[in-house]
Amino acid sequence: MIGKNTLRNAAYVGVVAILLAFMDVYSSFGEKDVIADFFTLSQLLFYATLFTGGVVAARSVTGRGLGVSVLNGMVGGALVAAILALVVAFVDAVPFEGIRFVFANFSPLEGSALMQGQADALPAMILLVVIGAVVGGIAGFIAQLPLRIQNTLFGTVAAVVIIGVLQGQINRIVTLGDALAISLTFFVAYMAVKALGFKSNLELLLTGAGVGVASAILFGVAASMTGMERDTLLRGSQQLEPILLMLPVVGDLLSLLVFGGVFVLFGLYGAVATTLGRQMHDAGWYFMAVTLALGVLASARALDVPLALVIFVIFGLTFAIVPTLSVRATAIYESLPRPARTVNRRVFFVVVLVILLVVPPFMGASLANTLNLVMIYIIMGVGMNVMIGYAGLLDLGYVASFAIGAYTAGILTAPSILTCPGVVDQADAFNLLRGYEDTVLGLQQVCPGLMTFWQAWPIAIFVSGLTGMMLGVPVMRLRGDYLAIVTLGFGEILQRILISSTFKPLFGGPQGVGRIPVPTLGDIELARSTEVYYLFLLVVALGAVVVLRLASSRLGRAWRALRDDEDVAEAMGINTTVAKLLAFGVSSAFSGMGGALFGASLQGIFPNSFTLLVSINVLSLVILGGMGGIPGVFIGAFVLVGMPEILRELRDYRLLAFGVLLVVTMLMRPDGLLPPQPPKLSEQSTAHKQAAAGD
Amino acid sequence: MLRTISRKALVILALVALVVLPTMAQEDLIVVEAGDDVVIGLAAVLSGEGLAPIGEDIVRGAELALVVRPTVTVGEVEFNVVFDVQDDLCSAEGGQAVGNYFAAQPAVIGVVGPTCSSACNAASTIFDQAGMASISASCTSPVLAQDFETFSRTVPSDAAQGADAAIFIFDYLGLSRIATIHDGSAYGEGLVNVLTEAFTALGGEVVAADAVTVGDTDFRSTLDGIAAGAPELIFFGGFPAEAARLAEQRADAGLGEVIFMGADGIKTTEFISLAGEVAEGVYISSPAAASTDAAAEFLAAYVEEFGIEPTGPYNTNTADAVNMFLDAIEAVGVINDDGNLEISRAALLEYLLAYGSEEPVDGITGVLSCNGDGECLAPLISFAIVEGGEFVTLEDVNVMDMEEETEEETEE
Amino acid sequence: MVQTTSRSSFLRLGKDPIQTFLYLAGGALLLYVLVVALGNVAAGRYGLRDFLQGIVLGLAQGSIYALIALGYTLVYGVLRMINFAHSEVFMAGAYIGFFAINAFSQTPESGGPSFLEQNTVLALLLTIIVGMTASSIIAVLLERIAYRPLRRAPRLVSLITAIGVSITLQQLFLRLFGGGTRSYPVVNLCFEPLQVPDQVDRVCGTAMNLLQGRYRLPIGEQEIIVRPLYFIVFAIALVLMTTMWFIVQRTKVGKAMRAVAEDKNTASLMGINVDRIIVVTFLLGATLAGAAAVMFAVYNPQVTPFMGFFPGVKAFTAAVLGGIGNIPGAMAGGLLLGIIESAAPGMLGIPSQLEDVVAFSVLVLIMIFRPSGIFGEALTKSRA
Repeated sequence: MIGKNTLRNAAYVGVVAILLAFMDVYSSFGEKDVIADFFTLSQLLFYATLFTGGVVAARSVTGRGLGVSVLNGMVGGALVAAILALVVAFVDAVPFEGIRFVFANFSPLEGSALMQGQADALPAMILLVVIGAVVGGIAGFIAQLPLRIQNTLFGTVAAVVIIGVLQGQINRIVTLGDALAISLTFFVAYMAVKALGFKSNLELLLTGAGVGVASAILFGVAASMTGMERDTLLRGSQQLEPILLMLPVVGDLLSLLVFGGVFVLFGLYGAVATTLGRQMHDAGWYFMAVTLALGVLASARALDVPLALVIFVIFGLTFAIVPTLSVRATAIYESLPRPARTVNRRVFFVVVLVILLVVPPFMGASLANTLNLVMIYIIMGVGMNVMIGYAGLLDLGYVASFAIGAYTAGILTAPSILTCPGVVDQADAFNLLRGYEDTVLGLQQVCPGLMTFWQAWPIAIFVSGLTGMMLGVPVMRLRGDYLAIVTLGFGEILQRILISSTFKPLFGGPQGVGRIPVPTLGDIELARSTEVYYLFLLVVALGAVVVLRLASSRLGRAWRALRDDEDVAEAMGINTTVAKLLAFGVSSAFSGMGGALFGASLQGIFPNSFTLLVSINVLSLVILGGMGGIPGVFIGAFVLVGMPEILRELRDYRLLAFGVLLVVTMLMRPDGLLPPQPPKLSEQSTAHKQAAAGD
Repeated sequence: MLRTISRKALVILALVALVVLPTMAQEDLIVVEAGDDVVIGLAAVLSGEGLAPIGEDIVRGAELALVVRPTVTVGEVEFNVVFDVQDDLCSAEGGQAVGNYFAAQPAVIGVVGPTCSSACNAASTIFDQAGMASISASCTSPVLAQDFETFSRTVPSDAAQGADAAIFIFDYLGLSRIATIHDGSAYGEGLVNVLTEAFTALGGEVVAADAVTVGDTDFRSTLDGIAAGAPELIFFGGFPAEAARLAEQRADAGLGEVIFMGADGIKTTEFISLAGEVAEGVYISSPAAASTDAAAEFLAAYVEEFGIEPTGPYNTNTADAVNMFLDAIEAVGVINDDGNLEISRAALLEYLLAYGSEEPVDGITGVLSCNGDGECLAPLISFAIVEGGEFVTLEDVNVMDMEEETEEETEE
Repeated sequence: MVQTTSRSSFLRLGKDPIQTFLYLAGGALLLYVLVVALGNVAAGRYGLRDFLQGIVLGLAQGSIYALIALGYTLVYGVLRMINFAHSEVFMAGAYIGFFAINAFSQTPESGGPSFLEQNTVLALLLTIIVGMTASSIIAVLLERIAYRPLRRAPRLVSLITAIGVSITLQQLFLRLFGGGTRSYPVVNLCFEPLQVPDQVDRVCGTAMNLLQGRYRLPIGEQEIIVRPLYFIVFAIALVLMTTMWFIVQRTKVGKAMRAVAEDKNTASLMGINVDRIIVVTFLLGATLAGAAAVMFAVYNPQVTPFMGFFPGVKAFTAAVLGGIGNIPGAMAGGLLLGIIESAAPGMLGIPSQLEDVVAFSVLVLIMIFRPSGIFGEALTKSRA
């Protein structure tokens, strides 16, 4: 009855549980509500541990019937719980100071999820095992359900939990009114096309646009006439103004046009989604579900039980029906003639771009800041991808060109030794106290930087590209791991130089370069993260285009040949020296471009931002995403840079979660999350061209 | 066709989006509904190399302040106070992230923190835009108070401490040859710079200057290089871990008899426990306590509450910052017709910048009296020596007098 | 990585413009450094005393680098993989060793001296053994959980996994044991047979204090300061490294390791259990790292979850310097790096803040002239 591996596998989970217990996760999140007055994060982690024990145990006996599965699940859950009960007994028996000496973060058990509200150890232990058995049994039952139901269930629960955990950051993104307006337009357009059917693609587009116009009028009238946007339910309890529904209230032509445009666009997307490939189709539904859920969340101060149920239903329905719809949509899409497909795809891309352009006011400064950080890493990742994905060169000193870009732009735009030697020095601490305050207050006016950001930026890109190439020269003959360690050395050398007192007049030593002006666009200062966002977006788009063009150019093919076999490439007539140097140059230029932006958006540069960890992060995101492809870089950057920022709620545990995630992802998907498709055709043509170039 | 249209349209749309769509400006009025908690942001370094204990200590200091004074009362309505704790990573990016985070939270009254000057610099840029008040308990870079409107601090700037430390060394200890070492942090380097200038101005000589890297442990060759200048005192700007190793390893370079001195960054029990016997005789400068009783009481409460000795130097400064906020809320908060608490950000900021300027307030760390720029801790520096594993304040030092004397001498 | 022998050969001047340029540039740099150093010597800013003191100070640090470097080199030699998490294996040894030595240093309730004071040598040996064991356990688990499933994956994937493991271990220790710095107790060990009558130690009197004592040694007019501990660390390291050398070169397991390094498939056809040999490789490297960790912590008594990073990077550099995969190369590389770090800044007259700049510049220079390290790579003799 009990599987051979049941106990062993559950015991592994138990060991992890012991570590978690002594790291204090079961009590330190006791204050953090996932669902208000119902479920704290500590409890969630506690039940998740038991559940995992149950699932692991039940999976050890797959295919032996429901009863066996439930029984094994119960045993597994109970075993994990029993191990945790032993922890309780241990803590109860040993003097607290002793435990605290070794496990410095451990806090007393009172209020911990392990005590389950009991005051004494013994009843708590018994209760633990009982709960473990129950939770494990449920896990065993669920593990026996068909895979699709399991996935839907896990997905839905995960979505609710994520929203609950992150609610502090995401509860002000979109009001229920805006969310309803958008998602209803999409939904109605989708259903209208399904109900009416269509003969030509034009008809389909017209239907979508028609639904869009109709709902624009409907919501517009409702908003401006009935004061719907002031309604407490739709407005949310956070004194949050709906952004979309406020436009007709403002009432000028531009606002009305934007308002109508958004609705038409979502109507079009809804209609087109019925005939799109799987990913493009599903993206629409999930986007709408998330928007709606965020709207629901924003309607109250905190996620409580009824709201959680609503969100559960939203995601449950979406996860349940989307796969079926998706299959049909894909089938229609494939049957369409090529031009119609292209049109539909473009509608999708326009929708995505428009969403990207209008999100900043919705998401607010904090999320915009996270996205900006992600985009900096995307830019660097795109550059690193040239090095490692295309040319196969492993660079661990990538941060050097990032720093060079940042410092070049910083020194050129900020008041520095270049424009006013002496004055900057006088701004130094000691003189300040002795009555030179004025020099600082007016420093930017007294001696502005040499040039504006827009002038300094190309120089920064050029300088970092050039130094990248120059650093490439000495390491030209090195391969693989030697290259890695020498480039790592470059990065470390540069950081030490930046921080050193010897070069303080130029680089500012540990104080860095301060008072860097923000980029301006006419009268608009791109100071807030929601504004700098556009600059980043532009750069990322340009960068991606440039790299894609490069990749399909002769140089790109030369790089790939280099990666596959250097000797063969050389024999084919490729000038490996030039190709390698260009790879160094191009990737460093990208990094420098990001660096300049980084400094400007921070309005100051500090040398401790340029550590080995940056290089490692960029390398990791490229490989995690799937080496060699641009989409992979995007995904990698989101997961590796965006996630730790968003995981803020996990407080000091977030780096641990990050590390575990990195290892687990690499173990499960060694090729990366989005490995690029092998370009079969182009490989052949590469060979041809190389042969042709060989003369 | 769609393609060409979409290209132009996107550029236009980006501009339209910039202009039309309202950016969420931080509203001036914070409304706390009756029965809700008043939220104060707390940014401290919680992860990262070597600095986590300092950040954890700051969080404990803040929590302890709330244990003593858990509520604010405005117009006879009592409000519970809670913290929103965020990790500032002790870096510019981290500061930017927490800055944006708090600026986007409409319920956050103000922010205590961040921990490090680089983070303060980045965060204050954002706080200035949002009009959000911040009081740092540990950012000591001198330029911060002048550069940012919303920034205040309950810790003396490096300028004050470095200058007074120079006078102390020159006049009280009567030494004229010193060596300086810093840890490459903005704090350590800034402090050493001020000290160097002040000390040379007094007529002393800095015979050797070097720096170490945080996280490194073998500083013997650094010290050996310094020994060549035969200094009478080594001044270190940095934190306990490196200070303890330097203090210990100086004997390995033949500097065992040379006096070691540090600043508030190492005035922690952690330094004494790490350095052990070599901590004996180490001089330390730090902000003067207003009354030794308040500080001692706070320390006792700290040990009682958390079961450990403070792991960092800034817990009292943090408590002072929290108390400033609580006072400010009680002073500028009003109860509106709905019975909710209303706080104007502008009024709050104004109150904080003028806090104690007319009548100095006795804080736990020292006398609080803001100068209008945001320097809130009166620049009174005290000096201590480690004796028998404890910091013993040197009561007979009065830097103010010495300063006058020196000035007189130079005038003569 | 395939490294054709012609590439690493020294005399290819003239055949390749870039190589020629590099040789010339590197030569010029070396010349400049030499001139600066000689200038400093001539001006009396740097003398024999400073040089000797530098070597003495670099000795212990270098030995520790060398011990850690062996772990990198062994794994690289056999698996062609940079085990980035090795620095955390080192850290784990120091941490667990701390709990052991801390337990030994507790005074018994009945009063009287602690176990550490009573049987100092035994207690220290036990601590080292505990550290070695802890490191080994972590390394073996690491191999089993994180590396073995990826044996066939691209090398870069295991590199990223190693980085992930490294972050995880650091943070795990940080969360479990706290971020505070912990310090090893101060241990005195009086060695009666050696009497130093003119320099009295505070604890041992005229007997030599092997661990804490500092003794002045006259060099001409001047004197250097020497701790017996430097030489003890060096000696222990030397013994351990020689043992390792012996195991790899002279025992059956070593033979199997070399066979696996040469060709995994052929080795397994020869009846060698490849998985087992790889575990042994990790184990050997970790044992050395554990011993290095405890010695490091006695020498610089300070333990934090992040302590592995610096020695790790330096040791890795040392391994490459000596020729990665090459055991004597790693030993020499470690010692060389330690000595360069402590002696070179003074010799060149630059602040020791820039010692890492010097260390890494030396690495770059050596890579220019000897692209596969001073002694060439190869755990085995030949490499295709």
